[in-house]
Amino acid sequence: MSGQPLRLAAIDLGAVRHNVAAVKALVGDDTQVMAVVKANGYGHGAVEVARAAVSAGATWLGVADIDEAVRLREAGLTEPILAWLHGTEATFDVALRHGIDVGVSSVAQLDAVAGAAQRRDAAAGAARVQLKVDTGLGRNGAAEGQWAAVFARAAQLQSAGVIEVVGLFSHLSNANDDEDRQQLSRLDDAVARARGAGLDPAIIHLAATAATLRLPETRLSLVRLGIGMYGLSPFDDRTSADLGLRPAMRLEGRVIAVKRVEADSGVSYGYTYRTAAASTLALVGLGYADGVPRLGSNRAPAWIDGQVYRVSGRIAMDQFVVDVHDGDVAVGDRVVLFGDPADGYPAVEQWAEAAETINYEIVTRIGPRFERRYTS
Amino acid sequence: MSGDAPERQALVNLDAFRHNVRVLSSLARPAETMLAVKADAYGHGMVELAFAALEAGASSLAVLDIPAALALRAAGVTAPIFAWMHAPDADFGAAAGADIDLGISAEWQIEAIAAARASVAPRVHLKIDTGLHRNGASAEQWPGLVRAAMAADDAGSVRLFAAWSHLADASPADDAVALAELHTAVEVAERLGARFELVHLAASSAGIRMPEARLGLVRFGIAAYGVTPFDDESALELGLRPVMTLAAPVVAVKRVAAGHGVSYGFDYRAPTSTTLALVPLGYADGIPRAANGRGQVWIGGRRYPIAGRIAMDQFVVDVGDAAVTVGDEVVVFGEGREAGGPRAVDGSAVVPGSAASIPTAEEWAGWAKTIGDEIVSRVGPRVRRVYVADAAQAEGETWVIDDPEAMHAFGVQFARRLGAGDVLVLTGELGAGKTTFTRGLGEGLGVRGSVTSPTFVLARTHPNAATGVPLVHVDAYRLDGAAQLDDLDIDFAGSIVVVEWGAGLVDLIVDDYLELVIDRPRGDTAPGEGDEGGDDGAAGDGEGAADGAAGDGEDAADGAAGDGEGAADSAAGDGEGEDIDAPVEPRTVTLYRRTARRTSGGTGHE
Repeated sequence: MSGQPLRLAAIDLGAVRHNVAAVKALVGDDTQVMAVVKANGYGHGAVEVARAAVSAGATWLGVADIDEAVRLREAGLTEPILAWLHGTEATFDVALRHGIDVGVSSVAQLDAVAGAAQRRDAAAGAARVQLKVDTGLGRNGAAEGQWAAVFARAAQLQSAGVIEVVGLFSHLSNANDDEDRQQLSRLDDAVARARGAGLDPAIIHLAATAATLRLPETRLSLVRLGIGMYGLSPFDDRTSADLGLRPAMRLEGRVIAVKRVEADSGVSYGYTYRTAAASTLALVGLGYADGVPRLGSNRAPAWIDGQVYRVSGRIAMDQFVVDVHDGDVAVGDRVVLFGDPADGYPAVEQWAEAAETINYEIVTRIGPRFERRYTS
Repeated sequence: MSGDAPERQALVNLDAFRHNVRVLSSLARPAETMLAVKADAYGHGMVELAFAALEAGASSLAVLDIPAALALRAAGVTAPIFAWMHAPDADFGAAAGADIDLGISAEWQIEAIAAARASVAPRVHLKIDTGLHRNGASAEQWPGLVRAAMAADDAGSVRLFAAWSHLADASPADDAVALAELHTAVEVAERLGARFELVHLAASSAGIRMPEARLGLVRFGIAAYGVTPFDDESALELGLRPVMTLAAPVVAVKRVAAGHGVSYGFDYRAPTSTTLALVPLGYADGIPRAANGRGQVWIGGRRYPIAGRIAMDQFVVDVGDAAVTVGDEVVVFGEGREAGGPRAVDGSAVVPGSAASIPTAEEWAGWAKTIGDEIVSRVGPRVRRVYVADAAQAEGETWVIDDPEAMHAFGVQFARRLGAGDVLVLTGELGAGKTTFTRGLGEGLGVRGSVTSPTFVLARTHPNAATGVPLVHVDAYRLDGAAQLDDLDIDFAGSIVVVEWGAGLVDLIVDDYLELVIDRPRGDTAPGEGDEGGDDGAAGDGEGAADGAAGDGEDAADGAAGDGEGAADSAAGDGEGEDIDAPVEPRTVTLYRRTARRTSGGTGHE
């Protein structure tokens, strides 16, 4: 028992490297792989995952915001980094100081980046910018009506030597293949119009994991690898194993109390679970404050000593109960909520289904009390 | 912080939190209040909330485990700290050394404490399982646990202090059974020779609705954060204020044509041409994806629906034709930036749940098929916790009062502000200077009889021959609830009513009132010391006793009759130079104009 923390997120960096290498092999030499490590590497730990991904062939890093990018730089990562979600008061001084590529969606942001570039030492050169266009998702990215204005201003600033437009990108809705192909064709149109305005972005990218695997024509010069790098499937109908990916996270708690109860004993708040017969209850020291979603109550799986049981009764803030029936369970035993099904553990997708969400949310929202330990 | 990332903020209003702690602790009294700050204070920030809880009337704190308790000690908390979930290799020696109260569910924990051979014997609270079937000894294990604890107490390795349990909140009948089982367990232990200084059971729900379960101490948690523990009564209906406000600015807007799809899978398509606002909060920040298709947010005075799926880092709001622009603040849930929540043009509070109101964490819980506890406690790490207080408004005046004479003079001056129909709640710990203030107020108003603490008479009426408007001085400390306050039949319309310890009661009886909050300026004394320190401890214990003595004497001396219950005194008072309620160090006094936020006329609690 000793040395095993009460709440453990075991991260297999070997799996991360395997997944990156598999995708790199799939996309070939002409397409670069960007390792997306936003939201603390989808809960896995941004810095450690980024290092592993780089060692396996990723040549770019992607994050949502500049704070996340700075953290990677401060950890010593020197690869190009793209960040694309900014505050309304962003001045981009920090981004430029750390050599971070700024994803830009509007003329106002272009002007802000230009301002930062002009404030710094001229010897530092032009600020690296990637233009983001909305090809249908309706979120970030310049709307089609704004393309002309954005491209014109970008070209003007580039010819003045203030910025350098190194990339142009968009993001898919994954609604269906037809919609995604339409978005691809709108991106082609945006690239043509950008060139017409005098820009020549070298890096064009659109695909995240799903399109990378399913729509080869969207791979272009770079793919942004997020969920697949963590070994999880972006599809409802394909498992990690189907895709040749290995889940990197195994989430563990421990049995902190065991008790034998009579038949018809109520369990946890509201007594939403009652034992069918005399039974043994194992108390696990994990709750929704740790990211174990309360919607998984009475539905989600828990592995103890090679057996898969079900969460019994409501998941509380710090703990939940598992009815192990006549199983031989002791205080200190490991409890695995999910891991690699190839090792006999429940899949994270089972937790996602129990919590009416997707695997991304389960891994990303594991709580701060978890200790992350890394293995290769 | 680069300053370049989106401004994701959880505004944590410590005034709202202190209000809730005052409301709950006055409700629980004479039971003590233990405030649960586990799970980083339900996502609000453990250390900040711990100090605020102690300032507002909690006498102890609860955390989950020993590491959290040690972190509180390291931050300077001196009040009792209770921790009850222990890993098999928990560091009981460190806990004992830091004077942590330990919840004990199994004999191995007693043995582990003994094995740690700490120089100090920690206080232990033995836990009996009364039906929840989580932690706690079963009825069969209980005698063994009690005997082990008694033996360890004799051996000097623990100090047997309390017995406790936790309710399932399954139904009033189930909870009554659990309470009976706790009483039985205590009797069993006492027959074995054990003596408990304290027995506790209730958390927020029973603390509010099950008075017989309050016993010596209530462990308030979620209610103090302004989130209801009930599914049939909101926190606002309970007189509690939301503590956390989750907000971020709009970072992009775009106009789209009818039929435009939004976010992954295009689950949402714009029904007409419309404006979409992008908000940089996603499920990584705690916006539950399970609320897809239901979630709403508040921008500039009204609610709008989230359009399409909530993503990891962002969601989109369909704002129709509203003039929403980049930089506008989007409030996901909470009270907002205005104390008491947004107000209508006429200054009244907006109707909870209406289109003009900010969603509550409770509403988000409904949309995400969970409870408000999970909504607030899972706000993500990219969201910056910002600690705020009620903004100084026109009525949010603040004074610094140096000594008892100044407090008295402040009361004299304050009298000019009050007239018939005014209700003034005085809030501040024992020894804050409430009675000194009221004595000055009485003098300023020119009422008859000197003002003393009305602790043993509940309410004392001081007639005013000049104005005909009496001063009614109420001490709600010993009132059992709003109903009992109502029973006093006070003529609110025709009097000036001053209520000590009235937070949480008065707003159930009257619509509008003033509240004077008397605090020590922060940093003036070590936090937590107020409840434990020599001066205040003495003052605290003394108020009842000394006032009792004074009160007895005064009652005897009472000449002129008031309402027959607490006669206006003609003598005494002036001579008692040593008022134990006198402030002995500077106080900050803040005036708030409160509007009760009841949605029905009921008193709600019981």
